[in-house]
Amino acid sequence: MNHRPPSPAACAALLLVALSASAQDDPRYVTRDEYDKVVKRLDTVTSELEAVKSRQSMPAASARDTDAALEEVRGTVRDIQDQLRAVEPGTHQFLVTGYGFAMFEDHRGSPSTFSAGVNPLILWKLNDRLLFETEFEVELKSKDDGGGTDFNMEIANLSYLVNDNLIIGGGLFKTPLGIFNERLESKWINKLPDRPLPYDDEVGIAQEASVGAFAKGAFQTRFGGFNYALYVSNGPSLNTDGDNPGTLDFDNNIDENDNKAVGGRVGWIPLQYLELGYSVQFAKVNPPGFEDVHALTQAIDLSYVRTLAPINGQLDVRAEWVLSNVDKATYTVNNLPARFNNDRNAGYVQVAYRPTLVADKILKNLEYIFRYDRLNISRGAPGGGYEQRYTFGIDYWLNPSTVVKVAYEVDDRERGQNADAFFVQGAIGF
Amino acid sequence: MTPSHFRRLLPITAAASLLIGALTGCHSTEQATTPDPTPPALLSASAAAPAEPASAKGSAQLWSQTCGRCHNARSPDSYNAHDWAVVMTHMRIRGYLTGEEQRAILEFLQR
Repeated sequence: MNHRPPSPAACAALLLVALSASAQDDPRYVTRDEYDKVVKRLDTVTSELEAVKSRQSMPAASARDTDAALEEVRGTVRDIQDQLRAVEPGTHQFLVTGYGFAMFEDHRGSPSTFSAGVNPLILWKLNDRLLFETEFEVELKSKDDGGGTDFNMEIANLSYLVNDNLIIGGGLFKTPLGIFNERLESKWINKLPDRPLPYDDEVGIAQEASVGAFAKGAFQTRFGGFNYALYVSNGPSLNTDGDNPGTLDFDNNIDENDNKAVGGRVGWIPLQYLELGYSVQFAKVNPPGFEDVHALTQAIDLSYVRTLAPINGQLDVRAEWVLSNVDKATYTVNNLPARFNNDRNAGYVQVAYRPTLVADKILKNLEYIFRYDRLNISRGAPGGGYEQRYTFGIDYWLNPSTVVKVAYEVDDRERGQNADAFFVQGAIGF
Repeated sequence: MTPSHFRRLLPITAAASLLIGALTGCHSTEQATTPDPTPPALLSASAAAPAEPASAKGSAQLWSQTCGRCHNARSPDSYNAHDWAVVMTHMRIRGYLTGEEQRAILEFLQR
């Protein structure tokens, strides 16, 4: 047999086959296909990871933007607040309010006349417990009074709110004797152009304002609401000679006899539309060197303000009566001694009706008023006798604090000439 | 005060007592008062009940009734919130309101 040795090429092929076979069996090696698949898979995973990273980084950027925007808004709010603080009042709050009026009046036996005035009320709230208030009356004076302008201080007082039920204060304040002077005298509140006789500027018998100290307040009970006022003041002084001996001078800003007047009022509100009150003032009124004279003044008052559906409107009833008892004394009248009973009383009843529930805009702003008022003076006293008046009025309310009043007053005097009067008055509360 | 002054006090005290008794004894059950302008809702809600503490009343009703005791109630638009605080302090003193009533009305006016 003839054996030939294998050629080199055949040996190399056999070796490759053998190596290839052994490589496929060894788990430490991968094929090219497997390698390419792994690389491809790796590329895919890398792309996905980049996408995830990208998505995660985007919200972080938005949050930063939101924080910045929020801070900008906060800055704007701070700026606005600073600007508001610049225009806001401080703890001291100041307000000018009050009322003004213009009037025409024609009294029988006197020339008719126009008049006008303004009463600015200045309120200064120093803090939640302290309030200072002052009111001035600025009116035109007649020629007999010197002409020009009359300027009076009506009130000037400081009040301290102690608690929900007590207020203390001092200064010049409206006297809580009856209710007219404290609550109803403002011309945009008073439904008629003039004042009722007990509180008349010329012949009234109740003190309008007092200089002194006061304590007042209100509280609720199961029997209704109560309010009260107590005061000590300079009090009135007695006119001992001149035209009206025996009358009280209420413009007594300085105490003449070092003896203070004491007084007060208690009001009861048993129903929401009804208030009843009783007031009293006691004072020694004689000037130095004159015999001792005391004055006791009392008043009762009633307020009834109620809207009643059956009459399609509001009924407003006020009634007050004031009694003044001044001790007997010997005065000089026409250069002769005179001693007389010096008691006086005066009062009024006023009824007003306004059809607030009707649809007509004109009609619902009209108010119809009737008032009866009377003054009685002991007949033995100078100027003694009675005066009574019947006043009929119609008001037209332009808004809740602006009114035009027209009134006719029938006057009846026991002594002297009756002075019927016609009034037109416009008043505005501001 | 002398005995004669006390004697003078008696008639008026008796008259006041009679007047109070008569008025409170004959109160009706009609609808109660509201000032100008009369809000119908307040009118219907307002019964002839005894005066109640401020907490038991709607502040709007309280504003209407309390201001109306003396004058027409002014609109809340009449003053701004700061001015109302001053006005209501003044009205508490002049109108004899309790602190509770003042706060309730002020809250309504500043709303």
